[in-house]
Amino acid sequence: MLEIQGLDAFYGASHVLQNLSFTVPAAGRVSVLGRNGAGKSTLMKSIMNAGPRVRGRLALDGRDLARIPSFRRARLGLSLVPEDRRIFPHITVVDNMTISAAAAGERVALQPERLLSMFPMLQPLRARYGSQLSGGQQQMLAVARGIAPNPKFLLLDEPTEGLAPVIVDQLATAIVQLCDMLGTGLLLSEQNIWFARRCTSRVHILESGRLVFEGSWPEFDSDPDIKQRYLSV
Amino acid sequence: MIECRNIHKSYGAIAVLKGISISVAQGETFALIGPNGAGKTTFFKVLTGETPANSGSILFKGEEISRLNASARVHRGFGRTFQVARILPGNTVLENLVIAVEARLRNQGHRSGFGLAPGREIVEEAASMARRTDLDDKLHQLASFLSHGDRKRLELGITLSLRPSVLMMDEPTAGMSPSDRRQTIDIILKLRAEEKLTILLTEHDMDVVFGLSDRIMVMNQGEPVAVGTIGEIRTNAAVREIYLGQDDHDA
Amino acid sequence: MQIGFAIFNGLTVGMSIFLVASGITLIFGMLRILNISHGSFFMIGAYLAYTIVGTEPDSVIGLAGGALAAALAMAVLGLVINVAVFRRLRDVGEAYSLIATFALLMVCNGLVKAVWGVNYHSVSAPEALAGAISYGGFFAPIYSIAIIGLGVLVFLVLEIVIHRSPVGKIVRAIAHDPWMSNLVGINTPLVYALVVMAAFFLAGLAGGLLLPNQSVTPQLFESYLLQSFMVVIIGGLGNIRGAFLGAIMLGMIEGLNFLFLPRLPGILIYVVLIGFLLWRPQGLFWQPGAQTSDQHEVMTGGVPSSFPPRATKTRIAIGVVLAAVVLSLPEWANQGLLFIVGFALAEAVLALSWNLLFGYAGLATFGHAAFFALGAYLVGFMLRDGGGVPFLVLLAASALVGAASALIVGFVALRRTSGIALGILTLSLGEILRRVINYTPELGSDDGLSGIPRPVVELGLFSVDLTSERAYFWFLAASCGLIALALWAYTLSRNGRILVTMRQDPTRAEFLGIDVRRHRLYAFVLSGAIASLTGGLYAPWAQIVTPDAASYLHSTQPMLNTLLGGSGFFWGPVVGSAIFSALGYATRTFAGLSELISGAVLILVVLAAPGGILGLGAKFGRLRRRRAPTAPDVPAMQRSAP
Repeated sequence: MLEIQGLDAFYGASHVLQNLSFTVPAAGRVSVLGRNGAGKSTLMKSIMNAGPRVRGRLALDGRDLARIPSFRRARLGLSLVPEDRRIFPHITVVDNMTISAAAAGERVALQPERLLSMFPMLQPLRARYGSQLSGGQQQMLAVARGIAPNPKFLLLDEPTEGLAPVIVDQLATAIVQLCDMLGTGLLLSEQNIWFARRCTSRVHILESGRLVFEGSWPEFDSDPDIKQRYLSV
Repeated sequence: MIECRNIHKSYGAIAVLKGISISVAQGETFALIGPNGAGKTTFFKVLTGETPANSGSILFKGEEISRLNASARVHRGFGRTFQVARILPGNTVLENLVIAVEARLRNQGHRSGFGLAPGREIVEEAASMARRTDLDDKLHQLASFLSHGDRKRLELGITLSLRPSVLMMDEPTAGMSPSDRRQTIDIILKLRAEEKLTILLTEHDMDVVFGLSDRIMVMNQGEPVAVGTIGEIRTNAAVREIYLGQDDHDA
Repeated sequence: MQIGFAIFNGLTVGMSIFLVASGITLIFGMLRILNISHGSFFMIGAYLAYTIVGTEPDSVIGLAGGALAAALAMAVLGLVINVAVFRRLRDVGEAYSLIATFALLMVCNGLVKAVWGVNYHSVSAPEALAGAISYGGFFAPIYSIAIIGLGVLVFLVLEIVIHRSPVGKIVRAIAHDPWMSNLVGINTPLVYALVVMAAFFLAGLAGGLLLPNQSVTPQLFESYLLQSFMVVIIGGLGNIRGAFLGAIMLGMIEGLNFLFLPRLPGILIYVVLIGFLLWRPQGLFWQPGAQTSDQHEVMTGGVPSSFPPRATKTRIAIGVVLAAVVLSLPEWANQGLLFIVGFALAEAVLALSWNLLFGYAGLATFGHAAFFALGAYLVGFMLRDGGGVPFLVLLAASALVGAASALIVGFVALRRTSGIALGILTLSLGEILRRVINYTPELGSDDGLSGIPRPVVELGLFSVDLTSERAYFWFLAASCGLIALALWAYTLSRNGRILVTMRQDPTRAEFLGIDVRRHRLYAFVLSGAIASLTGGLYAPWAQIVTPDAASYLHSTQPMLNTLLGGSGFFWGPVVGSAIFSALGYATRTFAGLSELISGAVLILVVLAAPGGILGLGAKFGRLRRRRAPTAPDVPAMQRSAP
């Protein structure tokens, strides 16, 4: 279970997240929707202690995460796939999958062969260097690298950004399958509602750093005003 | 007013712009839209002179400007705002605007007098620009302490203090709350009327795009998909497919 | 045969340098800190080993054992330095981190002088290494072969670990993207600590093993510092293969220099370095992440105000009192104090001119003393041997020469380089000048230009006799004051506002119609002119100018003054130079103490108060004001209209 209570996050003097509270149950799947600049990425980074200055309580399975550095959080079972993917360019696809083994901690990391079978698109590219991949391939690899240490929660930050619709479809399939199979919890920040709906069961909406909606997809759909007001795509 | 022909641009082996041509008339508001990675920002940078195009020509009021650097284009009447507002964080709101007014006077060839401080009329003009951008209650606040929306408005004020003939805005409402957004659109509309501006903008928010633009170009993967009025773009099948189509999935 | 010998010697030099350069490379490659103090840690290693093995190590094992012990001690010291200093440098700007490591260098050098004294020691090679191998008339000292072997060995080990091992993948992952490395569970702080320890270990090892190759003096750090820097820059910052090739190149160039330019030792390498920086500022090998942006620099230390302040009574009173104290000095102060104050005045103006580039234009240069030396030598030489050119004409000429040389340097340098490359480029130019002066007998070579007479200024109707110390002091103080006020006025005018705009956001400046490159060049020229003019004023005061005036050590003085006082304030450099001069005066009789204290103070400033002393003052002032009821704030700039 991932608990967030009264979370504030700051970049310099600007107060990006304001008093955020919610929980993601074990193996739960939650989307965080919101416009550019609403604070979605800041939320993801705050959970990992990877950038913003944070105040408030964060706990994983009851364990308080305060002041724990990001590499330890990774080992405890949180895995962030950042917005800009950050594939290591100097090593191969397979090495990118194994480098995150350090984050497995006491869990059993997934072997590259198994990951490659989940992401068939990467199969023929296994010996390529990270720098030689296209955007879609990088995103697939970033997700594979993120899931490789078999985390308790996978944090995906806008994975569909800039991807062709076909790839988005493949990505959704892979993510759903993986989470089902491994029992991984998912916190997904998105602007693509269709994708978020495929991958998650609940939806949260961020607006200017505040949580303005929390509910299931049917609840979300029952109020068309929400979409208009906060997302207006 | 702006005439762009066949702009090509690549970063290394990756072609980002594959032959873009546009023509924007005096007083027109022209929007560039398209999914992330479509090349909007690169095209913008080519127009403003931040990055050179590999080939193609840009005519501004009949003059070929594609070889000029950004500051030279500003001297000819370009004004530019950024996705993340570029302001002077170590100066106050008023100082930011004073510096901008002074810059315009310098660009127009006015010499500064013997006094060190900016003249009264400069300060007054800056203060009035702060009023027009709804910042007059924050004149003496350091810009680094401004909220996101205030920063964007300050940047707009800085840019308009240059009295540009064409205003280039990269996502003028990115990351704003709906109320901020509405306020910003209103200010842009008001200032556009007062200054008789020609505007080029990129934007994600369709409300903003439809609320401001006369004509729209939709880009995808470095190529133009369609150019036309709001009505034409709304009904264009290809556009729905690649850009507005996300709503269809949703249904 | 001579060529063969030169090449062999060059290789020996190159590999010695590589041992130090490899440590600099490791630290930069991982932590993005260019550790200027590495040469000093090498020196400490050498001293430690010397303490263990004495002047005549009896066997190779003894020498190696001493070196190993020194290396281990240095590794521990590296751990301490990493925790105490390096870890805290992540959040400060590039220029600040350079200056912090420079402060470390001062602390180390001060420490060495305080512990081991300033005397010179030499260590002989153990017998087994003392001989030479001859082959067909070609002699190769065994010791040199051993050094070359060691260099190659260290390279191979590093090459295998970094490029061909699983550990290397992790290490390079951190070099590429420390943030993401952390997120995939890599304990980056631990890796950083290990890398720093390895680098320091290598410095200690080199210090111990190279003992028989050089004399052990407190100047030992210097040659290794500059040369290993060159190696690192030529090779590409942070790239170990580059450093290895760079070291070989450097050795070869030194060899060629020895063959073809024996009168100007060590100058060719600077010429090559400058060519390199202009041709390929990123070095032979491009290292990902090595180019750091200037964006981060922007707010560290604060942006100085470019709007005229209100002339409050307090401010005017402070100015009047300070002027009165300085001008009355010849009436009551002793000669030593008077000399120090005159010196401090010149240093203060030099620092003001440097901060015009750093604090206002956002350019960090490391060779500012070169302009100072140009002016000082010009005026000094002409007063002594120039045959009656009027003094004021000489001063004007010194400003012009400074401006012209700054124009040439700036035109080329600002076009091609920024950040670290600009710093190293300007540093190299300063060193070239120093060396040229050093080997020009007409300028007094090493000993400097001494016996510079003080002038009598002819003003047509009457003349002013400046030959007495009192008279020249008044002239110097008044000139420095006028220059400072004129520069202040400049920074408070539209021109100053252009500068701070460029510094805060060059892109915004471009889109205000400011041609950033051109205005940076203007600032460069103005700064060079003032620095040179200050040198010209200084020469008759000191009555002697030595090549040290152009050295990089002197170039760092304005930086130290500026940072200590506060780069975000026009008068910061003056405050800093007053404090440093006072420190120097108070500790003048203890060898090393002044360096130690100055260095320690500087590290504290960079780590704890990057706004300098004035920055601290302003912070407290704000706190006090926040508590007090706020007075209505009339915008200062609205009062005067031209």
